[in-house]
Amino acid sequence: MNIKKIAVLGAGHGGYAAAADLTARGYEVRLHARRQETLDPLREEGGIKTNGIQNGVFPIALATTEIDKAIEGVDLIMLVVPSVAHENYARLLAPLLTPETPIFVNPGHTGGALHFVNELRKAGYIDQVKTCETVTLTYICRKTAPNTVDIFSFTKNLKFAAFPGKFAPEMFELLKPLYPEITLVSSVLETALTNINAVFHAPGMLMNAGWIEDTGGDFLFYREGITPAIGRVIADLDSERMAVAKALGVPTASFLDNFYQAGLTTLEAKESGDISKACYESEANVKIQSPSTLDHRYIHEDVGYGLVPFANFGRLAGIETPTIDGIIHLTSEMMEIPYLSEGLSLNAMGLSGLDLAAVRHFVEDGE
Amino acid sequence: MTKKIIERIAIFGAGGGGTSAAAHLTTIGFEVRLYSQDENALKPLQEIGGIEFDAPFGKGLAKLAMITSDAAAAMQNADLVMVVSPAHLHEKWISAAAPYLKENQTLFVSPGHTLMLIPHILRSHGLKKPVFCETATLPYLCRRVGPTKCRISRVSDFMVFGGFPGVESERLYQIVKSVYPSIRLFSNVLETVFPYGNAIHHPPALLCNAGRVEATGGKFRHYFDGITPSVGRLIDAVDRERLTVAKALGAETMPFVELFYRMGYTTEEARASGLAYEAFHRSEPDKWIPAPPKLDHRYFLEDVPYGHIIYSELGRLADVSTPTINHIIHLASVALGKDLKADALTLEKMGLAGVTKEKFLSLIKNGFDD
Repeated sequence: MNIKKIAVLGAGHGGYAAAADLTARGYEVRLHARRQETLDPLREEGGIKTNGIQNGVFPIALATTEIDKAIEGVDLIMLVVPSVAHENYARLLAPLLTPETPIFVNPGHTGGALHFVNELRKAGYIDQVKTCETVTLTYICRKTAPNTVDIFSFTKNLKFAAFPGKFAPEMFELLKPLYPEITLVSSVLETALTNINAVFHAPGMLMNAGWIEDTGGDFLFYREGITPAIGRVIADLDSERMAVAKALGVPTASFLDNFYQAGLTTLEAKESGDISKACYESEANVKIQSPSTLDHRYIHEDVGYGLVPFANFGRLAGIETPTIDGIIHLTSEMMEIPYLSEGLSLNAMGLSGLDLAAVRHFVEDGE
Repeated sequence: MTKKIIERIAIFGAGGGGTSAAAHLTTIGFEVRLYSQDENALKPLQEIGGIEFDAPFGKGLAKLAMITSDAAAAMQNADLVMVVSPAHLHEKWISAAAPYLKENQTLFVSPGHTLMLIPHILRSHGLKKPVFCETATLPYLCRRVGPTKCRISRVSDFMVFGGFPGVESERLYQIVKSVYPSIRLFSNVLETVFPYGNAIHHPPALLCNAGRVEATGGKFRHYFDGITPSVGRLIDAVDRERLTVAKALGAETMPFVELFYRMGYTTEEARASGLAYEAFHRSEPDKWIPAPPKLDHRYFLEDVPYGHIIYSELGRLADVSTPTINHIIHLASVALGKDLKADALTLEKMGLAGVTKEKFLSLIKNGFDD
C-alpha cells in the first residue's frame, strides 16, 4: 500500500511542520486541532507559511476540529501531540477507528504507542490495532507565529518501532517513504528507553529552576544551561537508563551516541564523553532559549512520561534508579504534582502485573 | 561589687566568626585571647595587636589580650573556651583544646549543631564525662573582609542554646547568658541540631541554581534572586521532613520561617505566610548576599555532610523517612562528582553505630554512664 492521504492530529510545532512538509511533498493532509482558534490563522493566510527545508505557503487540504472528518478515508493517522493528550485522542478515535488504518505516534517518547493503545482499549476499542512510533519528532522545528513554522531539518537516524512488534516490517515499509531517516529497532521498549529528551531536559530544568523563574528563562538552555555539574547528573541518569535497557534485553547506546547519531553534536564533543560540551556544541540547539517557566513540557512530559516510565521499567527489571527517582521526587515537590502517580505507570502502558517475559511477549504480540 | 561570672574568654578559630566574636566581646569588656593554628592568619593581627572591625556597635581596632597559636596559653585561667568554626573543623579545635580543658572552664561551641561529635572527641581524649554547650547558629552575620579586618552586619538577637548532657543545660545557660544575653534555653544538643538554618535551605537552593552558578560564576543574589517560588517549595518540603524527624524524637523545634523571623531576618508578613520563598524574598539582611562563585562551596560541602545528612541519620534512627532530604544528598553528590556521605556526620562518626533511639535519647539527656 502507498500512503496518499494522511490525517495529522495536533496543530502545535510538530503538527504544523508535518502538515506543511507533507503537503509540500504532494500528500493530501487533513489537519485536526481541538480548538478552532488554532486553525483560524491558517485559514486567513490560505495555508501554513514555512521556512527551512520547505519554503512557501502550503494550503492544507482540510483543517478541521471534527475528528471524523479528519480521519475519513485516510491511509495513515499521525498523532503529533504531547503525551498528556494521548488519552483524549484515544477517546475521540475509539468509536471511529478501523483495524486497517495504521497509527503513527510521532513522537512516542517513552511508551507512547503502548500508552495510546491502552487508552484506546480503555475507551472501548476492541479490534486489532497497528501502531508505530519514533522516539522523537521527525522534525527539528518551531512554530514562530500562529500561521508560521520554521523547519530546520529532519531528525536524523530516528529510531522507529511498531506495536505490536509483529507488524514492524509492514509498518516500516509504509512509513519509510515519508521519513527516510527512520531506522527500525527491536521493539517499542527500545524506542522507549532511547528517549533522550527525558535524559537531559529534566535535570536541566531542576538545576536551573531558580534561573528560569527569576529571569523568565533569559538564557540559552543548551548552550549556557547545561553546565559541567548538570552534565554529570545527566551522565549518571543516563547510566541508569542504560542499565534498565540492558536488564530488559534491549539494545541501547549512550546519550552522547544518540545525540551524535541524531546529528545534534560534533564528533569531537561525543568523543570527549562530556555532556556539557556536547550540548554547548549542539549546532541545532545553539540558539534555543530556556523555557520561560517551569510549567513546561520539559518537566511535565519529560518527567511524567519519560523518567517515570524509566523508573517503572527499572522496578520491573529489578534495577535501582536513584538519580532518576531523585529528579522525579524533587520536581514533584517543586511543581506540587505527584508525577510518580500521575505519570506513565506500567498500568497506563497496559503492562501491570506482567513479568519480564510476559512484557516481551505482549510487546511483540499485542496481547 | 559582685564578681562577673565570666572575665576571660579564649576564642578558638580566627576566621570571620572568631575574629568578629573577638572584636565584639573585647568591645563589651571581656578579656579575649584569640587562638588559631594558622600562624599566617595570626601574624597580621599580632602586628597590630588586635582586630579592626566595622559593626553596629561601632568601628575601630579591638586590642586583644593575646593572639596565639599556643592553646595552653590561650586557655590558661580562661573562664570560657569558645569554639567558632565550621562544623567540619570541630574535630580539630576540640582536639586542640581537650588536653588543657579544666573542670571549672565552660566549653561553648558556636555554632555547634554537630550533636554527639564533640562529646565523642572529648572522650577519645580521656574526658570520660564530657560537658559542653552550644548554639545552633553563629552569633553574628559577619565576614572577614581583609587580613586584619572583619565586618559585622548584625549581632543575633535570637540563638537556640542547649547543653550536653541535657541535665546541665540550665546551669550552662546561666553562665553563657552573661556573655550572650540573646541565647534561649532549650533542653539539649538535639534541640540545637534542628534549628541549623543553613542546613535546611543551602543544599536545595544551590542544587536548583547549579546551572546559573556555573554559567555566571555566581553573578546573582543567592537568596533574593535564587530562591524563587519553586525553590522555596523544595525548601519547605525539606523543612517538613526535618520537623517530622524532630517530632518523632521528642525534640522541640519550630518551622524554619518562624526561626528566621525570630532571628530578625524577615518580616511579619513573611512569617504569616509560612513560606520559605516569602521569608527570603523579604529578608533585608540577606538581600544583597551574592551566590557562591562555584558549586565546590560550603553550601554543599558543609551543609550537606553536616546538615542534610544528620537529618537523614536522625530520621533513620527515629524510623521516619526523609525522601526529599535523601534525594538532595544524592543529587548534590552526583553534581559535584564526589560522595558527600564519605566524610559526613553520621551516627558512626559520633561513636553511635547501632544505637537504639531510646539509648540515644538517654545519652543526650543524661550523658555517659560508663
